[in-house]
Amino acid sequence: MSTHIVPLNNQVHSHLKVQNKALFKSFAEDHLIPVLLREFVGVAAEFPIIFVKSENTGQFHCVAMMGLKRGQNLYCQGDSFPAGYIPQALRNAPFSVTPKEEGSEELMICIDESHELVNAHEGEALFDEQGEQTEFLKARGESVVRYISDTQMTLKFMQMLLEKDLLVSRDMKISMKNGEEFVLNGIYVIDEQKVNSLSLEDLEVFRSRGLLSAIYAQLFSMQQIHRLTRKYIEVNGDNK
Amino acid sequence: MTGEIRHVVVLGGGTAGWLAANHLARRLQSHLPDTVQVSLIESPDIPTIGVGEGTVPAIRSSLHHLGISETRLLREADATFKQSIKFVGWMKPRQGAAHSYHHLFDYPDILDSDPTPAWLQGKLPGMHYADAVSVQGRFCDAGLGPKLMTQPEYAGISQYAYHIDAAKFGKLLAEHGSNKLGVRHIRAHVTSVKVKTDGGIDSLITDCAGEIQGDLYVDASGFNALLLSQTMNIPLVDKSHVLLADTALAVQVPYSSPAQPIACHTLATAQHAGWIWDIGLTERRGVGYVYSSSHTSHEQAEHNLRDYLGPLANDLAMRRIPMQVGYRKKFWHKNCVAIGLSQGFVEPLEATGLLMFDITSRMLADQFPAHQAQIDQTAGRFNRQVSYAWERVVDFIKLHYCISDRDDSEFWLDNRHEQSIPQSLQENLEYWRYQLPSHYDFTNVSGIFNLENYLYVLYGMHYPTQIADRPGFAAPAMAAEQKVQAMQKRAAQLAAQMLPHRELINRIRQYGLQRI
Repeated sequence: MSTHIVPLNNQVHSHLKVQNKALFKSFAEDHLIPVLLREFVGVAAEFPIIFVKSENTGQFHCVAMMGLKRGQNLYCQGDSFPAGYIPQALRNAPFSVTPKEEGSEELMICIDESHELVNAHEGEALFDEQGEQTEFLKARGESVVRYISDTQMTLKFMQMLLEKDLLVSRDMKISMKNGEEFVLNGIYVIDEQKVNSLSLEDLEVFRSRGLLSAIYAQLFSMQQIHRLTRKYIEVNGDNK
Repeated sequence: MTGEIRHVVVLGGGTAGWLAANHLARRLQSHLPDTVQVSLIESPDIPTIGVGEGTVPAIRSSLHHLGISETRLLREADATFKQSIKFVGWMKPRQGAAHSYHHLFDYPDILDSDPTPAWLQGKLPGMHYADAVSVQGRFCDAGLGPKLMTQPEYAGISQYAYHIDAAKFGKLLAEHGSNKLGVRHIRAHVTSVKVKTDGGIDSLITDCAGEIQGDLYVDASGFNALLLSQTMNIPLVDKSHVLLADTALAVQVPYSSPAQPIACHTLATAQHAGWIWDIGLTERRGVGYVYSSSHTSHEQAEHNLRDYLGPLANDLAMRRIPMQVGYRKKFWHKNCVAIGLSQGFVEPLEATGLLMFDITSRMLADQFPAHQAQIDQTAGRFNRQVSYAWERVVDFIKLHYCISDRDDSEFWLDNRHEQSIPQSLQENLEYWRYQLPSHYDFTNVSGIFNLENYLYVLYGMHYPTQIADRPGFAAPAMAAEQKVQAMQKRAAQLAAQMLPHRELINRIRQYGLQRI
């Protein structure tokens, strides 16, 4: 899929419209979807939350598992999302933000002009006749800006987990009833024993910042592997 | 005198001194109260030698053990990865091309179905020995770094060590030792040494830090060996009749551009009277000619080194370092232990400098005597272990010269004189004419170079072992071919994920590596 991401401009984009929905199919091949710290509890009710390293940078990210193998997102195959909670990462497109200048703190809103939800006739207008941002664009703009600051918060949480040495590497082997097997490498999770051995002082750091629920949400979320295997059979059929 | 050992004084602030201090303080938990104190005296007046830029994979376990982050090593000591030593021209040219081979850091894959017999019998024609037993030579030749960004610190796809800037590495060790491990850093010049009636060291008198008294002293004062040699008169066992090179000419060479690829191995290129090392750090290369001054003149040596470097060396200053080849008769005498150049030195062909500093420091730390009365017994053992290690180091370095077929200069011919070859090496070579080297030949844990090292060098240099052509010993060619094909496939799969060496270094410096 080609993308053409440019800063929004009330002249160039005055007649552009955007359909107010998420295009799940564009994630059909991404089995890992980024999760924000504030979404941990909501996401944990549906998906396993795990930590993975970026292949390019080695940096850790929090993601929801939506598939058992690379290249297939079991939840993003159709037009609707077959689960109760939709992570924000699926709802940003076609909008994104970029710094105004390199190294600048100020952000500007960008749009992917080639995105399927973008067109000239169907959906919500971005600018009114005076060239002012519509309520729709204001809301979506705020949402992507917030997404960036929430991502920073999430990375800070991630950093705390690493500093307090709470993560462990876990290679998962999932055996399906039909004999199929999945080996998932490069997965990191919170180690409950390590949480329980935290000093009172360290525990207080997590508690006072309201981070204990995120820790427990991740621990619980691993149970959703079973839901994922059922979903796998539902999508791919019971045959090998 | 309670008989306790309460204070260790390390003399010398080079890499050897700091490695020793770090290992001792780590092991003795010197950062805690009521433990053995470790002090290091560094003279601001004495410059460190500052060469010794190559390491071997054992350094990784040491740095990890000391609690030093690999990311810091890459960022602060300009370290790069080293997966092999590539020897060029150590044999006569073959089919018109310069001879070369890799001494890889990955263990040869010989445990289950060994391709070596098939290779020796010419059943894997045209293949370098290293490529018959490992994938790593292919990574080196392709200029790929040994690990992925997703791998934690000190882990890799293949075995690796580092090329480091010795001066910056020393600083890193000093900072870590002082701030994290509890080493007391004393900046002072030792003006005289007080000796006890039993011949041990009583105290060190300094110019600005008074009299410093310890229960045990580590002499890391460099070639001078201020304590063990100058004070205690322990002589040097000279090895210059075995290892003929006695001088090094070193130069630092800038890169032509910041994006210039960095070799992921040390290059050791043989010359008429020695060999040239070529090591790529992040900011520069370290290059030097190690030669025998009785086989070439200093002027000629400089000429050869400039020839090797080409026009880019025109304005570079070169530093000549005389080398004292050999090791002390004893390394631990009374209450004084030598670590570093004070202990011994051989030419840096197999990166034995930092290696010996490191392993003898750890040996000392791990076998630290429980109390004063145990010192003599511990010293006796330490001396036997370290002597053995040095003898084997000399054997292994000599191996590179004495099995060469070069006959273009007296240097190479003299290196094959029987009197110049240690008896132990001669016996091994004799045995290996008809027998593959095996683990049975390397049973002493104090030996540093073992089966894998010998295999790469012996067969990299085409040592003509004639194995018995009997079932069970001579492997069928089929099995070896299949194994090599599988290896090639695996190499290609791995290589597809690996980054060019400089790119890997840049990313690690930018993003850092994870600890898990």
